[in-house]
Amino acid sequence: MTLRATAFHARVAAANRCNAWQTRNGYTLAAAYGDAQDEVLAARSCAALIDISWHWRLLFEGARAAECLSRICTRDVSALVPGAHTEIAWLDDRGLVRGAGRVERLGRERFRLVAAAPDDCWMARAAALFEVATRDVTGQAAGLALCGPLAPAAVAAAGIATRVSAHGLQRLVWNAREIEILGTPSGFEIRCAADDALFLWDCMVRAGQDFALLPMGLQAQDMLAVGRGVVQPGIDYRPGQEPPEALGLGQLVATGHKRFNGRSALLARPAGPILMGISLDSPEPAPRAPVSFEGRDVGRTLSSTVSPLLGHAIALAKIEAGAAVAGRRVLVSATEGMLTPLPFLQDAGVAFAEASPSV
Amino acid sequence: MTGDAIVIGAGVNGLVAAAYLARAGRRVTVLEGRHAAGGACASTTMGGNAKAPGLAHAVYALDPALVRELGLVRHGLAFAARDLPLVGLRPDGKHLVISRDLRATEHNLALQSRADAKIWRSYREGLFGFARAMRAQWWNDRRTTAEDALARISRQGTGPFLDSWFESEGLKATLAFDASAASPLAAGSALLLAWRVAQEMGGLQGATAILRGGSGALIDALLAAIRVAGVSLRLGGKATEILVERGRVCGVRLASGETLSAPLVLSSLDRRATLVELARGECLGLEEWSRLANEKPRVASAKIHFLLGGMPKFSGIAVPTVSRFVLAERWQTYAASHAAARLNAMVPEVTCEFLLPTVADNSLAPEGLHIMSVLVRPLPLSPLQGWPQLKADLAARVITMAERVMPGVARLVRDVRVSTPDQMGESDCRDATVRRLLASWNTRISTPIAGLYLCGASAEPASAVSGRAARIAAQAALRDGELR
Amino acid sequence: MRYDAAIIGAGANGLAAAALLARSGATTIVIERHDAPAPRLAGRVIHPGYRASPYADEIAPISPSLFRTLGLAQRGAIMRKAPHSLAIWPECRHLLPFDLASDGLDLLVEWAAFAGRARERALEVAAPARPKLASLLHAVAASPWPGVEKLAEALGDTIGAAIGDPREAAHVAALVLTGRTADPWCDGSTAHLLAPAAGFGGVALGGRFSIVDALVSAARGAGAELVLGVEASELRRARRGFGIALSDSRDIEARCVISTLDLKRSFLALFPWHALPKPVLRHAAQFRVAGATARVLFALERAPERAAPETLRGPVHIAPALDDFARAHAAFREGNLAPRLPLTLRVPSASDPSLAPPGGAVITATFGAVPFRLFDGAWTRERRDALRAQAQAALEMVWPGAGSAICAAEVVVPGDMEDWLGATHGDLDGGEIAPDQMLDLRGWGGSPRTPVPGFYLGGGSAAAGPFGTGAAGEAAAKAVIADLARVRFP
Repeated sequence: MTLRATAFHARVAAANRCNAWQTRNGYTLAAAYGDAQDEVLAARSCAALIDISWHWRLLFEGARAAECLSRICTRDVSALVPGAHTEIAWLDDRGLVRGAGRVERLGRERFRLVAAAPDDCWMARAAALFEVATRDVTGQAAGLALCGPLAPAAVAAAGIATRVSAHGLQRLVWNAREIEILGTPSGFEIRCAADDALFLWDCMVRAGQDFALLPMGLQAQDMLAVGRGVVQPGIDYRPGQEPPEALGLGQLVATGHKRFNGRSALLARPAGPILMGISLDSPEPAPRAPVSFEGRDVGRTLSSTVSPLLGHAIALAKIEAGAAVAGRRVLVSATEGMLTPLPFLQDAGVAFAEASPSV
Repeated sequence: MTGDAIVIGAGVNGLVAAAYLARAGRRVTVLEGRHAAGGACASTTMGGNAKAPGLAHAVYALDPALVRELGLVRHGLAFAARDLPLVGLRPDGKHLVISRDLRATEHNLALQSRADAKIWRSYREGLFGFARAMRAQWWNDRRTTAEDALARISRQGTGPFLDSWFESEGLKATLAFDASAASPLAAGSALLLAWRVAQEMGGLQGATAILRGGSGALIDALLAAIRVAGVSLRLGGKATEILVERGRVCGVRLASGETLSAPLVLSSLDRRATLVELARGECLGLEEWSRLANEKPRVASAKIHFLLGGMPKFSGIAVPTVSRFVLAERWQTYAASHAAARLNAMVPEVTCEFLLPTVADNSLAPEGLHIMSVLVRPLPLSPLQGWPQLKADLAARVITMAERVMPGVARLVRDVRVSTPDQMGESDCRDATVRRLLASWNTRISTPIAGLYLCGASAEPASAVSGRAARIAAQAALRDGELR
Repeated sequence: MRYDAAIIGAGANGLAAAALLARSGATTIVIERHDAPAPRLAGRVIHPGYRASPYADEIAPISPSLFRTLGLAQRGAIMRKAPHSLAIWPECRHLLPFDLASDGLDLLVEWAAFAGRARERALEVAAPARPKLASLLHAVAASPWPGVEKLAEALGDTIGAAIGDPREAAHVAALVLTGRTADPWCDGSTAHLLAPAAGFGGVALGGRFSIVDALVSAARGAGAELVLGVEASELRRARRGFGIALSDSRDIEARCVISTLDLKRSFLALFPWHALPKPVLRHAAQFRVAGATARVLFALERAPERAAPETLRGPVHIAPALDDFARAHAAFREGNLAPRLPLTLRVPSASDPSLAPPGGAVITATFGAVPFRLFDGAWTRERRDALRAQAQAALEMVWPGAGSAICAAEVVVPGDMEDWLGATHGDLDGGEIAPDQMLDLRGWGGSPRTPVPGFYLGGGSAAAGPFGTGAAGEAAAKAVIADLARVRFP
């Protein structure tokens, strides 16, 4: 199996001072450019730049694309106007999570699904039922994410005049190049043609100098994900194993949406474990182990990390609904910890210019 | 137009469902796409006025409860022959005649093998006993008492199962025809033998009967029954869409564009046609929808009618002519045919069952003319060469095989009619699996759409003219109506 | 001489059983007709300096508990798993790494867990907490192990439902069916996912013979007596156990006997015909065996040049397709050879350099769906050469130019395996893999005990036979130990 490099690889390799690499989704990516903790702090307090070209992107095209995706996704995406996007999950027939990601409406009959792990065959089979064509466009564009409170300022400094909202998507011409910019709760995502990737990187790095912008590697991203209470496919779960609540994806499921796949099975399911955080007393991340409370196993830990912001180790864990009480002291292998509601930390938040989604 | 219930399809099952619903006081409309009722049972005519049976040339699984409850005998149902012997025709002339008379059967089996004759009684008693115990599950949806035997037999193939009892190839090949909807190598196919034996005709367990007046007589009796009950039957009313609102069925749209509304719909089509084609995947899980949409049954059966200008003569020992005849070399022949059919290839060797209904009921054909009704199974559903090319060849292969045991039969043939799998709606080989045989009635008849039930042969444990699925689905639908 | 236990056959099962029995204090003798122990694992010389096993390159997984109990690691058995499997078609290839999450790996892991549970279950039945011989013989478990209800499905459907990518699905089928045969569209073929070393979990050896030496040392170390080059020619039921006539005209007595031969041979060859109860004879007659493996062993003067590493370190399946398995199986059932036989290549010398001289290589080709008896005649020289040519063409396709380096080749067909190994019809699995065989016919009620008191099955045809190397021997030894302590033998 050959690993692929993203369109930013030349710059990423130059910036990767520790030469620490990791693979995800078949791409070679920087694990950390320098110190992962510094990168986390940059993302929390200033701005960070992330290569997200490796995200799986699937294009849906067809007259019934809206109907198809409404059926697949746990939110009614047919209500999206073109130029808007929303976070969704998709479930199998038994109401168990196959994946989670974002759906962007590009046009009346065009949608794009973006997720961290691919689910090609399942999606292709589902789309075929609605005569909707799917196309994997993962490698076709380069993507950069800018996050942190200073991200808007950095984007403005790079000369990108955008009025995109936190749920919007905008296409614009910048320096005679076509780019696409997306608002997300934590910042922006900018996509451009692979040929323009290095130019975009250079511009962003230059513009970010004044805002202490740092490129951020996978390690730091994973730390932030644990802090935010976000589970990751392939690391924390495999498709078709857990109901949404156990993965903290409950808020993505719009029970008012009557048509999504797995809905009746999900509603018929008895309350299972839910995702909680554990603030550990130890300075070491916890292994994947059972969580016990008063000598009884009440759950299992998932990802764990040491939070540079909190100064101690934190872990995500699936905890039985009955035992999931914030503030309870629990035992993870030999370490004690306290059940904590998620997220551990609120996002700093990004101030968007007030705007309406447009293309 | 509104009513209380709509039944799609006017075959045996559709008519039975309609009769039960109407008897409970519901206003029922039966929709039939064709211009005559009957489905698989409708008789056809050959050579002017000889009546050939429909696709189902004999009945062996008709639900005794519905015969009684719908008063079918009062409406004209009668048997021309109540208990057909099973005759395995062998090229060496030592034909096997298997009848209810144990002594005669043992005597006959001894021609091929003494050991088989000796063990016949315990085989028959064992299988009949097990099958009776299985009725709790197959007739009444209760747990069977024969769990241990069931566990064992539900993983055995017909071939190894028969091998464990008998040594003569002829006997095994003859008995295996009743389970030939599945490969004799498939785990659990032996259960099909037991299922067949669990059925009862005219009070006799495991009997096969021919109806007086041909297979269409059953339809006539049912039509009389629904007329009395006040069901409205719409011939030429093809349903094109099942209408669903908020997860509940609300009506049916016809090919003419007309819409009928009703809170209950019973479909005698199979699950795929009902849920994917008519209900367009509504309320169906995407994975199940995709599985149903892409499901490719590959094995099927064909029906051939030969109009004969005289009574054929059998070579070898004398055999009763009102019988069910089986032509098959070895049980492995079925296995090879299934393997070929699953790969869409024509079978290397044909295996078939045939009847001479005109001998049992001489009102069916003018004096001197006979009909030989042949069921060929298994065959590929859609062979690569295409059925139009293979049609004539198939009839020729059957008659060549028949010629070996009935010399001169080829010269008697006056007319041939072949119904290949592509022309027949539902195949009796579709999904002939243990899972289907052992599923609960509820999983077979209910759908994810409230108020929509399946009542066709595909909702039975194994496809046959039974009407039991229709009776049970109608009862479930009535309960559902009361709950609302 | 009188022993507590006599074990017939010094394969992995026999040696494991001997070690466990001797450790428990029973006087134990192992009788092997070959001059060396474990002929199936050990392999033979195919050309001066080159060695290969005529039967299999991989060893089915040994359960960790057995590995620990016998101290095999301390005795020098080093096991190594193949890192991946590769499937090659003319237009593309598919690599299945055994350490990277994928649909195919998930499925194999799931079934490996079922096999593990089934092995544990077999051991529980063998050494029950409350033994009652009579009831055990007729005990039919309601649900012997998880996943058992899935056995009745078709392999193609099971794989298709779990794996979206059709290439990967065909690849997994090839892994499961290497050297075997089944119609993947026939209900019940899913049972093959439970079969020994269903591709995944298969173990290549660092030093192939180390495992044999370790097993022998474990058995001898515990005090078992090992007699080589001697065949047990007849078993008589004596007043207190069995009398065993050996081919060297010795006669020994044993309180109980474990046979590691297959079920048919255990009864039909060891006992005089009239000495067995009818139901046992019927059971033995009903039991189905069907060898389907043919192998071509190539000795190469020089290892393939510029060979891609993934072709050397795991099995290479040649153009697998589910329909081809079905066609090959249909031909197999009729005693024919399909035009396209399932074929897997391996380079055992890449993981075990002791098999070939420096610079050289041993490459094996494993065919499935090769009938023991051909419909139209014997395994003539021409037919063997045809197999060899087919294997060589595949070898040339994977490693261009390697064909010219071949210095010797040997073709092994099921008949040879029967002759050399004593496996009926050359069936290396000890019996056809099918749900009814797995649950009803292998052993009685899942137990190594037989209706002949004191006679146990501990070979591939026993209930635990398909669930790993030595598992059946372990189960038989456990049963003997439990019964020697509690039951008085006639």
